[in-house]
Amino acid sequence: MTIETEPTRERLRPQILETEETGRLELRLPSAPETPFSSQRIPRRRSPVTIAATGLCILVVGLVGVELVEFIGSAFARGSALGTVATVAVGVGCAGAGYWLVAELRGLLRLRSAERLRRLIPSALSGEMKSEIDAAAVILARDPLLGEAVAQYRAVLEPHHTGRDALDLFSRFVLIPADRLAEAAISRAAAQAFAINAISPTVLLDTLLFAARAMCLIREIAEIYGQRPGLAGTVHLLRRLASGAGLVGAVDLVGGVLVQQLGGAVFERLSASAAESAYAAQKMARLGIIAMALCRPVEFQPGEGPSMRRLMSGLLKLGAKAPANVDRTSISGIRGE
Amino acid sequence: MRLLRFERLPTLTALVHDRTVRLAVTGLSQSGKTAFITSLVHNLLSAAGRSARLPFLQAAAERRILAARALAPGNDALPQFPLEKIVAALAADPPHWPPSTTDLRQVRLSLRFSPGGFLGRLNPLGRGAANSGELTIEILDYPGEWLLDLPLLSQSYREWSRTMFYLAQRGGRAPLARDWLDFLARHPANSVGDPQTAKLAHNLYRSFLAACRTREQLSLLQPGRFLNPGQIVDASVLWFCPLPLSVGGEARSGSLAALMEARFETYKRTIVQPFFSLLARDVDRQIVLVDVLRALNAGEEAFTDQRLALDIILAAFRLGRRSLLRWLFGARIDRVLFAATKADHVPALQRDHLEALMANLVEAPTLRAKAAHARVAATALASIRCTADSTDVIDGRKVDVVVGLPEGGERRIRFFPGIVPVKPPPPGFWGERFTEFPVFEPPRISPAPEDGIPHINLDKALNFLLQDALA
Repeated sequence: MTIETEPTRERLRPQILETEETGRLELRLPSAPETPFSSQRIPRRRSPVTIAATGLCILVVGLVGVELVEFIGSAFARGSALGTVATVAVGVGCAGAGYWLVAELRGLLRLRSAERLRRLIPSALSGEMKSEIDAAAVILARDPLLGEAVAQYRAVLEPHHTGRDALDLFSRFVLIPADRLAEAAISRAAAQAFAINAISPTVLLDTLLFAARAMCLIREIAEIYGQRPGLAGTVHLLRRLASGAGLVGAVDLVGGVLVQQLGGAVFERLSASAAESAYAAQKMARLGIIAMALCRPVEFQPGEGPSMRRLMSGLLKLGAKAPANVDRTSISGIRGE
Repeated sequence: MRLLRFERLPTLTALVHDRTVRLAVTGLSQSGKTAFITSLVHNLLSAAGRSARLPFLQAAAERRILAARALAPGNDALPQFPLEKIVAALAADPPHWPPSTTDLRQVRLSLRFSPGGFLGRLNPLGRGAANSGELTIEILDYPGEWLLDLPLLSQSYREWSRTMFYLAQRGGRAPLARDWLDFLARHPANSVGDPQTAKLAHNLYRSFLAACRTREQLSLLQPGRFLNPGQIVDASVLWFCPLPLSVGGEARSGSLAALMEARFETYKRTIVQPFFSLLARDVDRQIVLVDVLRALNAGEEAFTDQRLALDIILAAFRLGRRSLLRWLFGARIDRVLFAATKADHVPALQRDHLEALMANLVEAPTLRAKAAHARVAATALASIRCTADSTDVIDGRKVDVVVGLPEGGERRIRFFPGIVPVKPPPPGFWGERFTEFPVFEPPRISPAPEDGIPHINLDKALNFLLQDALA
């Protein structure tokens, strides 16, 4: 058997190549682009479940459509004025439903594209990384608080910067301010979880209020990272959170046992409920951290991730400062207010 | 009482944050020291208005640099670095490069900045003018050739002569040294010490050194002042050269060897020692600029010679983490950055290679610096970026190139710099020498410090060198 190998190609020597191009190069700083970059979509095969769900949706839409047409037809049969009113009512209802559907789909798509970017960026080649980060910038630019940070990032990014440089700059100018906002939101939620636990008269009410606040926090964090999830997006987020929340649940179990033991032994006369409230705050903070990791378009680099210690110290500071001040202070380091 | 305490806070901030950083910009001839200093100063002056040119300098990115201004030299004996003249040259139409440095010059820059730590954001006085630190940066510019004289301080005339003779009889130096060596063969070391003979020998040796630089692109050419004398009151102090001397023994009084040795020692005492004292005194940070690409393309001998020259120059500096003990004994350079310059001559993908090659080239000095607890890093930078990245096809292969306007030309050229190895190349790597290294026209800049000067990685270098001082 003969294996044909490609002949070794001679190493290219340095060369100067003449061109017909004239004039100086434009090396001025790039201005922030007016229109957002569009990210390329990778075509994917539809799964059988998606096809089936689409078919069912079409069936439902068809049934509802036929019903509505019959409804309008019967209204017209009773009189043209009644028919017009029915048509207008159906039209407005369809427009509202359509708007809701589009908003849901957009929220879901943003969430999905953020997740896709998080998967792609760590393995992207230098050239690809810049376009992936641009796509992440488009997502974050939708947050009114981060629009300026994204503009600053675009203003400092120059063509000679490598993908790694772009990631560093994106992290420094955009993600860190976003992280600070998310951390402030977590601190607020944790403080409220503490208060809820302390004042709620029943366990059921405590659980319901905690769940509602946790839901608000998750949506708030998603919005900070430019995602604005609707109902579908929130369900999707909760599904992704389930694995992370499982961890919180396990910690909760251990913590519960500890609180019980400590409550019985050490804090017997003091306040077992205070320890439980503190633990509820910590649980909320943990949930927030997991939500941050899920919603962030780029994974945390070493040393960037939020720490419980910082969040809890932030929680203590909240007692002295209004939450709104925390937002502005945390972002002013970059914006130079 | 409370008010009085607040009034004192700015003073406390000043106490903690006001300091002077003396930056030693070290580099052989044509390594880009003047361009580096100009870009550094102009970009820092611009950073107060627009931080976009220095996104990797943390203080600039966080917009903590409140004001920047150039200061007059602290030492009256030193002429001022001609920043305005160089900036005017870069702002002219067409823009042109500044001439090579021929003498000592100093530049001082003052940065007023808002501290980023405890005294910055948590200070109840806020981020006002009173709550700011001031950093003075002092940089010395000098001809790169002069650095090569530093190792002479620890050598005797005999030792130096033997080393120079050894080198002159090998490789590309040998044919160029023929006239000088023939002259010395006719005038042995123990012949009568005639000043005229010494001057003729010196002239021939100097011509040999100049030929080594222009034809072979060699670096280890001592004494450096023979190629770039600067302002010397008594030029006769330079009229010496190496002589073939035996090991041990002493030069006979009144002989040519005795005359040369006396001048060598005078040269060391009156020229080299004061320069080194000025250069190494109170230096906090050091950046070593190396034109690796030119040496790489000039061939194996030029590359090895550059590496050797760097090694012996860097051995003259005392490195070490700042501490009381080390301060008492003089070691103060606690951060050293090795930078391969002219990174705009290679496309983006190969800049990582250039950086890795730089790091490998200075492996020995890096180990020495690390052993002395100094922080060391290597990078590839272009102080003034003149090109843009592009691609072309050479021999049917798609390659990354850089495109720019050659100085004095009208049509742009595309330059393929070859494959930059990540390690010092093995013997099989070297082919024909490539000496037509293109000189690109610099970008035309705004004379006012507004938009800064385009660069590659200058901000990363500054962040490494100044981050703690601007914290």
